Amino acid sequence: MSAPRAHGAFIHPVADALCVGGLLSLAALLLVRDPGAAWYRAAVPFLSLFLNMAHFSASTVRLYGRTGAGESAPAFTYLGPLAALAGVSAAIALAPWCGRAVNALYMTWSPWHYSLQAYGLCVLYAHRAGLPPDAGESRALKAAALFPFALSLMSPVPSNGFLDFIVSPEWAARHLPLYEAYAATRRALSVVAVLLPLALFVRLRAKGRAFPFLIPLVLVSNAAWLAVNQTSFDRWWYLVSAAHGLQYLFVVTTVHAREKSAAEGGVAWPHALRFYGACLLLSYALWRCLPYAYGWLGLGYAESLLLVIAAINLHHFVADAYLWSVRSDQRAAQAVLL
Amino acid sequence: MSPDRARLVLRATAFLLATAVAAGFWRGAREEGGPPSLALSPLSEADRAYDADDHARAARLYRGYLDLFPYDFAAVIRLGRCHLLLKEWRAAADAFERHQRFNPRRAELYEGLAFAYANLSIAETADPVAREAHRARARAYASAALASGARLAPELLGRLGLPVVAGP
Repeated sequence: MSAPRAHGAFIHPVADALCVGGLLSLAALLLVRDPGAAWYRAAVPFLSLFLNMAHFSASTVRLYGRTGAGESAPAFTYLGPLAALAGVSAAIALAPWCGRAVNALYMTWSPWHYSLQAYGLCVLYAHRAGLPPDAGESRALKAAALFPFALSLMSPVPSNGFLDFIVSPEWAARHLPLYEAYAATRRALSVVAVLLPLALFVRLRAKGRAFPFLIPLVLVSNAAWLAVNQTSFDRWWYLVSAAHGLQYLFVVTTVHAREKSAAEGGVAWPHALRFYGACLLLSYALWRCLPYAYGWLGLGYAESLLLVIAAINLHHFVADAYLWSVRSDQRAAQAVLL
Repeated sequence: MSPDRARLVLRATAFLLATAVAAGFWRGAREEGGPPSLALSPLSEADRAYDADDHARAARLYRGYLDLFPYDFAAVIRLGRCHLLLKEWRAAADAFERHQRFNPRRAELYEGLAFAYANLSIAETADPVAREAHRARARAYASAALASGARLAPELLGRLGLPVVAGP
């Protein structure tokens, strides 16, 4: 186990800032001015496989690949996959009735998961820097992380989330001045969401709490992702989800490889390669092959593909919450200090 | 449940999943003519099928996609047109009507509905009451389409007994 360092980085402050702090993604958002460009559209499937889909699989591979898997939550570990498979199969068979609600659940949960990941990373970096946040600081960090999620509930309609069950585009069209005021409020609050972590960081510094710069960076990136996502969901979603995936893969691969290396000896990078390879293979199998299998049961490919993606997301949200819950698993808490 | 039994359930699930993935890979390879591609959304596949005049496959893909994303107006219109091109008048009317509540007051929806009901009234030969009901609905939708700014085909307007508007 390494001694705390002021920057708290997992590998190197620059690498962490680019991948976890989201600097790469912010640069990409500036670079991709036109998300309809042919080169961007051609890159999207690869971004999705190598970063986004691989990160979903990472929580499963980690869940079953670590030492003593299933000891602390056997019900979830052993029965979770069967429950997920049964759930997605039922949702596909009943897609005309419940497909939209399952999709809305995943779309609404997604920004919550993004924001909690940002908060979790802040806590990890604070611990790694030897500055565990006190209860008040934790609350402030959580509030700054969850503010963009609250804003995501104010999405433009149609949002493809649960908001659509309350506010329809027809209602918005009939109450245009009200809707425009709502949209202007949302835009203003998006700016607040980006500035809030910076203000919090300055305030904590003024109080003598020298938290690593990676903390506000993680929070600002998450706020920017969720804000830009609302300007054009269809166009930016893939880039934003790839950035979130890169953030997760960077941390989980590092932690997994170091844990394996400490337990089995040798250098860490072969463990990292094996781990990432398993994630890629599982992603391709579940995302690109499993939806076709439902064709043998006479179920449609389109709803199978979309609902398998929704199920992969939902399973990841639950698995991730379990994996990184410090309270439920002391091993996870120790692993972040590796 | 004992830990041994739970582990057995996990192994059985893994076997089931692996079998399903292998079967899916085989089916996907057969349909795509190679290993399943990295297609992200059935919408792009539906658009490709539509552009290649494979309207039956496009309709299946649009229908599944719209179950989850009912507000995608372009997909609704394309689904309805697939059925019209396949001469599936009832399915076309159902597709347009089902999504009308998500995308109301759109000229293209009314136009598609007018066309579908006009053809349903022609296809209906057994029941004169049903034929007249279809024709009345076609007229109503055609009038709504015209009021929304659509320009309907003179042949359709003539068939419904509506005045033909001269083009510019």
